[in-house]
Amino acid sequence: MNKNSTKLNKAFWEDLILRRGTMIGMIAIILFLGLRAPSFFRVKNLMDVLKQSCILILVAMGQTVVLVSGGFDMSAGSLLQLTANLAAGFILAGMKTPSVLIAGIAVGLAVGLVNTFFVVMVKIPAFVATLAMMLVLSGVTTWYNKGKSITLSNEPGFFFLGQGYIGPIPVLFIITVAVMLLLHVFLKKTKTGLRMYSVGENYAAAMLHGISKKKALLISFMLGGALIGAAGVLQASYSYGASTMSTTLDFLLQALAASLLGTTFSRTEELSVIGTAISALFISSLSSALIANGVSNLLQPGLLGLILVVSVMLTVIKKREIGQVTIF
Amino acid sequence: MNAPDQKTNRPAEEEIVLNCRGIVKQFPGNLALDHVDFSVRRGEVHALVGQNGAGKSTLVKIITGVYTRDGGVIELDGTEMPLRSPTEAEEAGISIIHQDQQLVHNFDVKRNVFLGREIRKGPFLDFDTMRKQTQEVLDMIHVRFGPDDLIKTLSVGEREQVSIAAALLQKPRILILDEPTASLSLKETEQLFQIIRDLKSQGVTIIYISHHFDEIFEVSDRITVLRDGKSIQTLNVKDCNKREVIEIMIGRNVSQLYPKKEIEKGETILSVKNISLRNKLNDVSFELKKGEIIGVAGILGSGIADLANVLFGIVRPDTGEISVYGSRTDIKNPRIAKQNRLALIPEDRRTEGFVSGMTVEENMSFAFAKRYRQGPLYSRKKGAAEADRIIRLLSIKTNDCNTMIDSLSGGNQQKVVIGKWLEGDSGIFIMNQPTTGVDVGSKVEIYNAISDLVADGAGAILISQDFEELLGMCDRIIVISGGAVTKIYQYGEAEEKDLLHYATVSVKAGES
Repeated sequence: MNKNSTKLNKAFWEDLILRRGTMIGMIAIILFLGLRAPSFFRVKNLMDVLKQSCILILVAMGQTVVLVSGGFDMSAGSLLQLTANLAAGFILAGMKTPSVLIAGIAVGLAVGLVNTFFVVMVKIPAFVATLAMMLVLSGVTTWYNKGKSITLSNEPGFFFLGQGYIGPIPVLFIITVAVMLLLHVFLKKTKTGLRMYSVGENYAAAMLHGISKKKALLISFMLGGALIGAAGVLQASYSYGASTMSTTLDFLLQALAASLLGTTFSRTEELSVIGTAISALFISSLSSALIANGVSNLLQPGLLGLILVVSVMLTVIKKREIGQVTIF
Repeated sequence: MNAPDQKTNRPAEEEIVLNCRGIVKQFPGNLALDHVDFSVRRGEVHALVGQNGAGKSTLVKIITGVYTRDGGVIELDGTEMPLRSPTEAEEAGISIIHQDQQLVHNFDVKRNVFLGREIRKGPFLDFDTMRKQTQEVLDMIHVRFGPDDLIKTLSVGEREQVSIAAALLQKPRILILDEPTASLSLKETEQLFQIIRDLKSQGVTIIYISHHFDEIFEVSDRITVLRDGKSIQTLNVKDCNKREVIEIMIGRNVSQLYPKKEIEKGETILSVKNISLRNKLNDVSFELKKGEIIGVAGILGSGIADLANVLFGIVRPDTGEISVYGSRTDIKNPRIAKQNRLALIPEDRRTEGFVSGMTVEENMSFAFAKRYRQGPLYSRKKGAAEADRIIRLLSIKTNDCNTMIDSLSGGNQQKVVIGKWLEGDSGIFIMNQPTTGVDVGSKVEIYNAISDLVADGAGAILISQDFEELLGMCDRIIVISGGAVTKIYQYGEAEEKDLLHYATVSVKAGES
């Protein structure tokens, strides 16, 4: 019995070092870059960095919710782009902020529903079905904005969401943290959350325990869609409307990287919204810190690719250790 | 639901808890169960045996509500039960532990045990209550882990115990174990039997399904034999022996369960000298002659599987040499092994032995596809002709060579795996547990195939944890424990207990 508990203790410490290891690495990198650019650690700049990270954090959490049930969402970035454009257009057309937010969420839910239909009912692999959805949504976006930016000005009510502050804290950050906590409780402390994880981790086991994969995926895609739909509206508020510059793939890849990197925070290599949020915050602050250090914007995609590879590598190595093979 | 309570402590001899009478189940074109009678007494361990296709799993699926029966009556404690769904069976107190019990490895024990029937407090999961109840069932089976341990930190045997705990949580009146020892080591199996005895003393009735007669005779009180969808006989374990049961099960006199032929031995075709593999094998040497079957006996993890891998070039040994047909050969990889007329029948036929979703002919021809060329292309005709020849040779039961391999029985699939190598000129067959998971009838046919092979001038190395088949089939048996050879027996010299003794004798690793 005693021997057993020391063994467990050792495993516990090893796990802890691995978890903290990612965290320590992240802090070290940001500290190093931040100290080289003195203005980086001013409170105002830090708050800006936080604010800037929020959209990515929300999208990444949307992706995580889908991954939890064993799904995969390629359409995350283009859904964000679409609802950002729709939101900007609706505000220009005179719609009130709450209605726009509801519209964004509704579009996200609809996209999630269609994704679920193709993945669950038609049984197309999630990767392919959502890839098609990504292209369709991009097409709809271009059709809607006719290839032009939709710029907003003088919309204080709407801009408060994405640009306002309560005290020194950005409103957007408060929203993001609230969403994160709600999602965390939902996934880890409720029956539905537990069942979604079980479907994603070992479908055969879940099935034998009478758990429905369809239901788990439906909730995943709908919840993820709603989250990203709302994030698009906030994006429009944050960046004075919607630009035509395509950030679709950037958002998608960064969100995926954040989700996977986030698993290294967990003792069990599980996906978690908190791990995802911290990783997304890291990826986003890294961009800011690099820019503050005068590193060219043009290098950023390459660095992002590197982060993606490293995060996937960390996950795959750990998963292989416990005998799980991933699709990556 | 009845808890296993005090009044059942002393089971009344004749008290019937489950009574199935005249159960009929008709599948399209196949009468799976033909008026089967099956009755189980309270607090007994009742073994259910039969060949694959005899109706065991159909009967179990009817008792657990997965299938609905077309006729017959099922009574639980004298009350007739419809048992129309798994939920109904569960509510009636019937639990089953499946052969491949699936668990979520990243969840802890309590989450797995309660998966699908979670306890909630308001909208949230009530982990405290779940932990407490999990601990209670874990105490019933005396395990060494707790409700908060992660599944991935547990051994295979402990995972099986988690499944048992999950079943016990429902306070079953009847617990069905379907091939529970399939992936367990000897020691883990022993622990499982202890758990079964404990449960029995706590008044739980157990239905035990297994192909292993040793286990059945060790742990059960009565045996019901099914054959061709009929219940043939129910016997008291005390009043019968293994051979008797096997004969009832396969419905004919097994004059020779092990069809060993007297074959003249030829020259040495494989010679293994001083093979060592770090932590796995320690100085193993032996020779194989033409016409000879050598048995390699050992328990799970003793290195017997590694020996197969070394011989077929999957793993390279650290030291030692191998000579094939008289010349020293460095078997770097399986391709070179194949060129040197070695053939491997792998341990897990489903993942390593055949390609699921391909036909019998395709599975037989891919190892030597080059032989059936017509110009640069593979010739279906030539491949099919050869496949037909081997189907006849090994009497493989299949419609024709274009049948999907998945639709064959386990024994016949294994024969395809063996037959694949016959298309080449393979002469040295390394068989790693070729009869795992096949029924007695199919085993006999696989033994026949092996006998035919060696009679034809081949040599075979039969690696197995089933010591009885080694004793029955092999000219010589090499016993391995801890990676080292601990004993060599000639045919007829040893008994099962001797093999078991030398297979479990402790050898210090790294000692030469």
